[in-house]
Amino acid sequence: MPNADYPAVYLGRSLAPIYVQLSTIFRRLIENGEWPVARQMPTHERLAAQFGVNATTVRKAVAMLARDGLLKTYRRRGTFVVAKPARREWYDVPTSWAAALAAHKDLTVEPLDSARAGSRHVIRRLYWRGEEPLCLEIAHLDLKLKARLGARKLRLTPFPVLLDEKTVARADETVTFGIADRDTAAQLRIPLNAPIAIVHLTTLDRAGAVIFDSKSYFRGDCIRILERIKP
Amino acid sequence: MTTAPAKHAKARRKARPGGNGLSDGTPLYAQLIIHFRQQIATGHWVEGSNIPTLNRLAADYSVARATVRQALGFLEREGLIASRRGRGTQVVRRPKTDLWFSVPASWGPLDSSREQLASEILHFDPDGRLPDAPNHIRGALASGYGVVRRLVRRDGIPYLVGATYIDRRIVAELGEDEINKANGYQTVEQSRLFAGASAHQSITVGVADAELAYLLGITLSAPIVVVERWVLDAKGTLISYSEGKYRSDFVRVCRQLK
Repeated sequence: MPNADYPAVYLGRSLAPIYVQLSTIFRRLIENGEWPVARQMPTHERLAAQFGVNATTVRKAVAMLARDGLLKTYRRRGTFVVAKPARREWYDVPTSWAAALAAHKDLTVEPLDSARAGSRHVIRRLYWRGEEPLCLEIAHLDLKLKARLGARKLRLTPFPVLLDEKTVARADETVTFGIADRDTAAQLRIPLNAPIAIVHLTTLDRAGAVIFDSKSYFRGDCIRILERIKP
Repeated sequence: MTTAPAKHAKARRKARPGGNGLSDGTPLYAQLIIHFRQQIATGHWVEGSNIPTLNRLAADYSVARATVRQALGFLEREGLIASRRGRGTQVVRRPKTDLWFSVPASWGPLDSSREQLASEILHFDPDGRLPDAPNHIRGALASGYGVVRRLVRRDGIPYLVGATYIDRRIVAELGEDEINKANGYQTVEQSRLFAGASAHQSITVGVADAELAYLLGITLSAPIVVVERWVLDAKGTLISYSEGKYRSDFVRVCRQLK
């Protein structure tokens, strides 16, 4: 009998193999604690009946999660949950200027390339957190700003530290979500199509001119926007 | 010895030899569909222009021509591309991703344009189990929670699967009918426990599992945006937790930094 939590899942419609689909559901049950760590998961037969698949399919789904170190099957005792999927440490996307100034203290900046594009200067930089690339930034700068900064600062100083706060009248941030294309995937060392968050920043001076405009492509599995919404 | 399990999982998911960046688990053509659709959505493949040839794409991604043909056939049936005999394959239109939903930065209903919304209750459980991860905000737990799961459509397109957990005291105060009728925020606001309450919100990114993919009509492992909200009453008890999973291509977050 289908679990009431899964009123509508029908595994025959997707292009992905049934056992892969099933493994994503098992993964969620482990993640949200429905199947607690150190406890036995329901029998393969019961799950096969619940999801309307055969026992081999359940076994293949279990094998996938066993390879990931989440499940372990013991002879005659059944399959047990041994661990939850590991989470990366969160990176909190700043939602205020003060937070933005502090956000980069644990990151290092690697300049990739830079070029002039019309009346702007374009730089591409990779922000690292420890051993792992966190985001690919493509920034467009006002030429006057570029001249004022000098080459070294331009290459290594993170946003918004590189801006003189007095010249910034307004800064806006828009976050959208998507998947990694080939370039982003290669730079961030994530699979093609992996989820990403795109943080678009626009900074205006007092005259209303754009002095700094950037798009940063973050790996999606660790970014978070956390805010107090009341009171 | 302790090693981070994440590292191992990552190592297994890394690109296959040949460097096309495609990963295991999902069929290659299914991954190419998602990738090619993205090429069209972002304008890398320009509307009205030809896409690269079959041979070129096969070589480029180190896959068989048949695999590319299978993926392109899918996009053709979707109406995004059209092949014209002897003249190549042209981009006809971009996928529809313009139903922007902007996540607000303050308490209130998550969607104000209620008239085009249709909400369907998937599930009500008067004694729900609070999921234990990932909890960013901790408070004392109530003695139990009623949970409502909903599927919300906008202009007929399913775009949100939400679960709202409500302190059983509120369920008792307002009655199950009320809980099922209103959205989670309205319900909590009506409770006497809401006076002096504080609330937090987190926005994170995930991937669609099979159920979510099915309900939202998206591909398995497609990105989703997860909006979670915690409401603590004046005594610090978690009186409501909600988790909304959105189709990521309809969602954005706008904040003024300065």
